[in-house]
Amino acid sequence: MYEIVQKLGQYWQYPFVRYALIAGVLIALCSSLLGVILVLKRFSYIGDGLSHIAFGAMAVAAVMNLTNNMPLVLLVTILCAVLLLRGGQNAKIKGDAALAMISVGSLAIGYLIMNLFSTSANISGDVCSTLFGSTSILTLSAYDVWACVILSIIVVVAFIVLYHKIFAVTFDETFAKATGMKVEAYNLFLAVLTAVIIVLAMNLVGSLLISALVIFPAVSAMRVFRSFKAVMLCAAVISVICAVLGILTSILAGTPVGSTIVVVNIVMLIVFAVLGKVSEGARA
Amino acid sequence: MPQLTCENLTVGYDGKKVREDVSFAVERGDYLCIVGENGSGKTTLMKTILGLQSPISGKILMGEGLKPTEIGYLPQQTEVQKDFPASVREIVRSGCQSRCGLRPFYTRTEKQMAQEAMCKMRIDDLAGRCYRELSGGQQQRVLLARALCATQKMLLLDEPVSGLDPAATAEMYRLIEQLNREDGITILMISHDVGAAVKAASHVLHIGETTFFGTKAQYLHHIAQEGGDNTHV
Amino acid sequence: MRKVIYALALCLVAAALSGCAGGQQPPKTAGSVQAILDAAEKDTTSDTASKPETTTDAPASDAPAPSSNTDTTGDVLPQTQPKPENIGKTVDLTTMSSTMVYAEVFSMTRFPEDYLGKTITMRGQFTVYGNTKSGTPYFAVVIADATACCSQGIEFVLAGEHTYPDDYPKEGDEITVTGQYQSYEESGGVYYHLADAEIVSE
Repeated sequence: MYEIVQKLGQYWQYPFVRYALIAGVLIALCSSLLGVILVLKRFSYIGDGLSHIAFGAMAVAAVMNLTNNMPLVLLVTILCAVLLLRGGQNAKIKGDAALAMISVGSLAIGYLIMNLFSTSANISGDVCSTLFGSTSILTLSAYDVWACVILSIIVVVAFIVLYHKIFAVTFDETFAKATGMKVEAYNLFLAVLTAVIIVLAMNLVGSLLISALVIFPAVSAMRVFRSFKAVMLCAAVISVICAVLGILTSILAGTPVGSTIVVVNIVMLIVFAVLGKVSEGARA
Repeated sequence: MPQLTCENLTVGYDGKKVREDVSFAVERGDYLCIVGENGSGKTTLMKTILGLQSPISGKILMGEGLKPTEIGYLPQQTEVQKDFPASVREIVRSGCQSRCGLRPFYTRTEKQMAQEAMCKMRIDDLAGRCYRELSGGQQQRVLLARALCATQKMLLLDEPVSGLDPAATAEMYRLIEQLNREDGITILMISHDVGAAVKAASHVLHIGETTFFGTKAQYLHHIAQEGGDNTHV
Repeated sequence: MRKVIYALALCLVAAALSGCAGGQQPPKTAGSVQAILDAAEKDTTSDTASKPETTTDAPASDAPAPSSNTDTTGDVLPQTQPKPENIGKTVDLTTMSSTMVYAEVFSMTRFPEDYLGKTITMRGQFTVYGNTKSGTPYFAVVIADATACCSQGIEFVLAGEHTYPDDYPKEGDEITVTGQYQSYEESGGVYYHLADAEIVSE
């Protein structure tokens, strides 16, 4: 035990370890808040689709040799999120088919573009680290961390200010609309928020594993808690704890960061599922 | 002037007409029961009145200072709500959203109002309970309490007793009648169960092959003349 | 509810502040896609294109180092000179987990200024690349990341006279190398390597 603490103390000297923890905690916090809404709205899969789109955008940015790919990736992802989440209600193409097509399509095109035009020497490495987020959270620059901090603050503040409205719209869109709430505006806002968080979260776990970050904490929290507020808070806490544990485990044991975080989340879900059963039994 | 008037209203969606030429007027304090077969356009009519979709033709007029957003609504249960983790209190309070505007929190008055609505619906003892663990009747009362937070003037109820057991159905009808009698809230209710629903109603709108609108007495007379109907009134 | 919000706000401020404390690294200059040593580079005949470090990172000119608060008076120093405080410092990568090693090597190639002059010890696969027929071969230690999809290498030059292949290990052998991180110019580019290196016997 002492050795582990000592080792962590040694690693703490490295700025990229501190960056990783700061960014990891913030991204986990934001993605879990959003995750509760997406799971309840039956949009669990949107994270996956959007992250593939972000991957495609990243490929384009890499080929164009942009020094800072964040704005382009963010813009493309936001646009697609707006289209997908709006189309989800009454589009001609069924929502899930549209999502699947766009997500697989952009993944394929992104990979193709990278292969054909990339100037980088190691394409498979680039692709692999973008998809699985092997160590990208540990290679953040101060700029990345700042972008992450600012975006996270915006997301959290927006959630706090709009908390009751988000609840009303998520619980019953028809009623909210009938009583004069601007439901479309909230859905738009939610779409933009989703895109921002997905782009941030790609750094942490890579684009294939983002869904886990969005869904697991929300589902875990719902096993045990029975009010919206408690579920939100619990999901946020679970997500942050899992992210910290995952990052620390991976730097101590030398495992890939993204998948370690996801595995910690899975373990947490099992624990909460058992807790939920126990508390249900106690109730009955 | 009536609180709500529909003139030659044609409703439908995606340009497809579901029901044509519906006209009726509702005075303050009326209890209108909307009956008709499945697919006759009852829910579509209600959504049009609520402003969720626009009418294909015709007019909806509101009087006595009623604003479109001041109509409370009890929708049919959705899939999303069945396992939604929310406490009764959270849901009832969300009915106040329409008067919040951009304000992020509920005021003391609004919380008080939610409390009163819960008392009126006899669910104040369930305030901290989880919505998805309640019985069907309790869930409907929660949603009714929420609708009361949104309005004190007019309630639109879409099949409020569907899927409820007889005891819960009777309780629901009793509560709706009480809101109408004691609080003077105008009620528009869609129902399958013509007999039970018409008992408390003051007016009936029947939409189907022919559209009928009139007081309960006129309606009873009307179906007596038609003769063939097997509704037990 | 309000209490919760205050608590959240506090957390955020704390997080923001800690981000600020560590935020003195120079801005990223190259695209975030990492230019990494590819195994295929071993066979290339071009000397300059086959350096193991990020050749897209032209380090000195376009990466001003705001982190060098201590030597603001000595601005005449070229950026590629080791910072005085680095000399004698050691970075021992052999005691780190593979994830940390990868991240640290990445950091060395992206922000070389912070490491110049430090003595680095690292363990990895011995690799030879460059023009092995006519020109001088280059030697590098290559490490892979945890998912084994990316690898990065650092070039090293042994102290004293050595001939290849007699005095070197077999390619692909695991070796541990210690040397001083230095920059050098060649064909108009700036590269980094471990100078005066020695292969530490197991």
